[in-house]
Amino acid sequence: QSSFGAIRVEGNQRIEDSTVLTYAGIEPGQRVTTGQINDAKQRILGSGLFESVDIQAGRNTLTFVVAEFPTINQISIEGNRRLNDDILQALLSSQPRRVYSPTIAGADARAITDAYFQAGRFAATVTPKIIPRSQNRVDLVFEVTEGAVVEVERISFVGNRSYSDRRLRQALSTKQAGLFRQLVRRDTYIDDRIQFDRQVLTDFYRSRGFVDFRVLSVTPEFSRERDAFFLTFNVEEGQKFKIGTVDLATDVPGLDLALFDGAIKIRQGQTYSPARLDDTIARLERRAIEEGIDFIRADPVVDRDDTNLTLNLTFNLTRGPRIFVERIDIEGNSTTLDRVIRSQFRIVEGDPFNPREIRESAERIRALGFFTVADVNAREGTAPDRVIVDVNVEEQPTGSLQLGANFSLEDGVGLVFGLSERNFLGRGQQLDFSISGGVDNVDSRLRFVEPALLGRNVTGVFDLYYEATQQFSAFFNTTSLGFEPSISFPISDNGRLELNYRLSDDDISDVSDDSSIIIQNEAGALTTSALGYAYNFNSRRTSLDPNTRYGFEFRQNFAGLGGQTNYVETIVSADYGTKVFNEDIGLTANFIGQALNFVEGSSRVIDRYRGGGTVRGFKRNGLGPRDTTAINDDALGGNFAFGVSLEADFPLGLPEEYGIRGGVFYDVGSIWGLDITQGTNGPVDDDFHLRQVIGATVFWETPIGPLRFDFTRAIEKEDYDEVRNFNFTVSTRF
Amino acid sequence: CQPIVRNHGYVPPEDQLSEVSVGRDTRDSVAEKIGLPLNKGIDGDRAWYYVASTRETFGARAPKVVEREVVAILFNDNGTVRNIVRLDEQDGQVVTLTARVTNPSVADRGLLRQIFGNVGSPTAGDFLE
Amino acid sequence: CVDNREPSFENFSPKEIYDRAEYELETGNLEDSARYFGEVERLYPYSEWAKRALIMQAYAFHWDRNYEESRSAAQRYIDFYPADEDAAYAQYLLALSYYDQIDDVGRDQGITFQALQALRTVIERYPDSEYADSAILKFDLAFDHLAGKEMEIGRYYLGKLYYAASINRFRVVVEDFQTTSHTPEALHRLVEAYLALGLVEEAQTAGAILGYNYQGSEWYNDSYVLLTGQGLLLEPVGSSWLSGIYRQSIQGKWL
Repeated sequence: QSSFGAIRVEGNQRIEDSTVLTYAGIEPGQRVTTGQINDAKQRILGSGLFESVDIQAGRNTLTFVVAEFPTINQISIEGNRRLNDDILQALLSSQPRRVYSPTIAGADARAITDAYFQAGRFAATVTPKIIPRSQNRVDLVFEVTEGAVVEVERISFVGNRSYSDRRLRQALSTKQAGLFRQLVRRDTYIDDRIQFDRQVLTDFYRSRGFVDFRVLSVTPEFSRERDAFFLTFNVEEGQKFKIGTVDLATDVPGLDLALFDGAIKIRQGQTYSPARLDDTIARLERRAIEEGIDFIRADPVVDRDDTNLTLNLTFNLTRGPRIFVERIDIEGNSTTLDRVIRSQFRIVEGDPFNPREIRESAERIRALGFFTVADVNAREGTAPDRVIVDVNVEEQPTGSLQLGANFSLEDGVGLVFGLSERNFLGRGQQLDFSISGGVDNVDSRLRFVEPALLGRNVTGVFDLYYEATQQFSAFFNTTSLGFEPSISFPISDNGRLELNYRLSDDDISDVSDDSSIIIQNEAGALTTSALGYAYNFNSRRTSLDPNTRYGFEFRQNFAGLGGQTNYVETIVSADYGTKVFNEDIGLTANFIGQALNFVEGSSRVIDRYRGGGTVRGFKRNGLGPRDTTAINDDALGGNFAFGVSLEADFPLGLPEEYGIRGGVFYDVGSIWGLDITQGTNGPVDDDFHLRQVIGATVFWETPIGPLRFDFTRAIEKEDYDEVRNFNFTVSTRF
Repeated sequence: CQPIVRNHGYVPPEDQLSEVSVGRDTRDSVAEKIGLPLNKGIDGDRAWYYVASTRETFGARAPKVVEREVVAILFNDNGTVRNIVRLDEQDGQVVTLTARVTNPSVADRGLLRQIFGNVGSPTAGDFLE
Repeated sequence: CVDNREPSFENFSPKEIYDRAEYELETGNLEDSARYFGEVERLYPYSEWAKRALIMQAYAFHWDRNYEESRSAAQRYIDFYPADEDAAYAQYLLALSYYDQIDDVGRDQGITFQALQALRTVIERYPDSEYADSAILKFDLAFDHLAGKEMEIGRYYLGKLYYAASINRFRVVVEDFQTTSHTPEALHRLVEAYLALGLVEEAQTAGAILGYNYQGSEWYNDSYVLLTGQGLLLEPVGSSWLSGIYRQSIQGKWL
């Protein structure tokens, strides 16, 4: 041990003596061992500011001779084309004005090479270089050689019996290098994408009952000349299992199993899938919570029956660990209010902890669409039986400007302009303003949505709209101005009820003299004040099978609460969609029925149904009652309308990266019923006449937007209907 | 349409509660038998409360607390259980809450700045990446 | 190739660049002044001017509300010149960069924690510097803001009749945040919540503490009304659902 009267520092240029001494941490006169002196040396080195530190212990003075790292003057990256400077600069931890250190520069070089690996350039190399400058400063240059891009040319499968190569390729995210190779970057060969694809394939088969499915190997062959890969997935499907017996058991004293019947939707004979199992567990645990029994966990016991390929399931209800949620802490919400996120939790602080509920709440928070990142995880609280739920979010801009265009032979070119804010003032409210205009119509709408009216699970919507049509396809102009407040709320898992009120002023003007007398008498402006309700059922809300969805809505509006019109309007609609033939073919069915019963007075053409969306293959206002005795041969629309359409879409056998699919459809429906049938020079036929149309469609997914070509032929119609045999629509948003 | 039912909080089951006896059990033995409480009185050691409630929501109407159970374990100074009190939703008083709020110390951002501070970049269809 | 958009100061002396930067600062051109101060540090890192330029750079970036840059400049100053007398100011600037970002109480509290930690470093490491007092003041304000966050969550649960959850939040304010401006309200909310649960003794205890410490406050009057059943609430709240929608959806109030 020895002590030194004075401690001095030499060799430092920018760093001050006092700084080195504070790092060294030795006071003059303090008794120090050689070990402590060495520790001081390490501490000085540890500051990362010095290239080397030497110790000179004189009789009474201790001197630290230091050599500082140079300061970085400027950093540049050369030879990078594929990844631009901004992306790469962001990866570097070396910074101008900070001290240069070879270890940090080496780590930066590796960070750049990793970025190139991710972009599929395996041959990239990066070397850091130093250019000395005056005043002990250096310029740091990263020299990059990128190497060629390696792409996946074709994917093929060995061992797949149940699903076609095309179907599997569709499931995989790596598309073959196709028509739009330069545009689309997804098909570059990335190592972790292959691992991801193995997982996608496994999930694809496992969720269709192939419990033993395995990817044996993925063999890439490298094509020398075109630097692309041929990828072959070698798979073993195993057998497809169905569900055998399904039972319920428990070891919890006094738990009455009868409480849980009806909660199990999984049935014998269904195809086994992990998702079905998971859903049953969720339903059982949720039923336990509803019955006020806490901490019940449903553990599935699966016993295989290999002879008749079934899995017998027993759900064992056990009492899980008694843990509570102590606190829910939310961070990162710089604009969104805490209550908007907190209200997505079905539990409150102090409730029993259920991991499934936390996962579902995380999904609901992500579904808000306000955040790029929304991590919800639980950590131990102030006692072993306590948990604190941490919610960390990163916000994304929720205001957006939409510009769009669509074109169809029927309506011509249509432009859409929309300004929307989905998280107004951070309160989760939505404010939209949109104008869409076509050749002969304009439709502008202002919408305000409050998702939690009065703090309840009630959605309040306020609509203000203005619609106008010009002469183009009819011989009169209409303008409608109205506002429509409504509230809607869940009344069951899949069902929602909406209550609405509408006040609108609808004006028919400039009716040409050659038009039907009926329309001429309907000219003028009338106000409508109507109360309405709608029950809406949608299987998507909790449906398990991703391929099948069905929905139903029953809507009624009662006009006559003030205003000048007095009618009851009933609208019933239903839709069903599923996929068949190993999900290659999509089937959809739609039904819509509308009835307008005027209690007093008569309906007007602006109120009546004029064919939009009921049956395809007709010009705008092309079907339904028509005053053939008038010069303009006007379509009058009808008080009643119904339409059924059955459609199938299927691949056309072309390589699917062209994005072309075919479809056929059959539409049947009619529009009929008028209050006044006396036309200009004779009666108007407003009876019920069926219209039937068959059609074929070509869908083409292009980067500009989805294109659709419809070819139709009416196999049953009225002679006065106006048919359109071809329609072409494209819609894009930019 | 039937109401949507939700249960919150936790009260230990009867079989465990019956094991807690006045005069003999201490805070530790109570925690042993029925677990630590989630609510305590102002003086944390004098009173432990276990609260569980059921609420029903009918359509658009405000949720209504239909059932609530409060189990209070009161301790005397030497730490043994002085009394066990059980309350239900009838014992609660109807309280009109004061709407006033202690205003936040950091000035609230102006309404206009809040409105336009959040309009992000247009969501152009970025079909290249 | 080293792109050199900025006017190249290679052949200027550090003092000339420093003066130019100071001139930009006085004319309110904060962004340019910050950049020019940065040039002094880059071109002459070992000159005496570099040290002063670094602190001025942090200052300029701060008032330009570029908190990221201001923090990194302040941090560089603390790394290189920890024993210097301006280090206190650098640490204070660092704390301000978080403090000025504390937003409306309803929102992010992560930043408030960082502000509190940085302010505590100023108070502990440089207690007798001229910035210690205003750091203490800002520390209290940030602390008060944190209590406001707890209150806001407590009121959220109280408004939705989750009395047990709200009690825990208000007790956190009473126990951990006694010195803040929210304590009287927290005590009153405890009176409300305990009464709603039927725990009258607890409500009276809370009311007593409120009366003892905050005799003249409006909160005490409200509690007095609830506990004794006499007198009227100071401002009866509009009860119709329409005024409820206006207050909550339009004004963003909690009740």
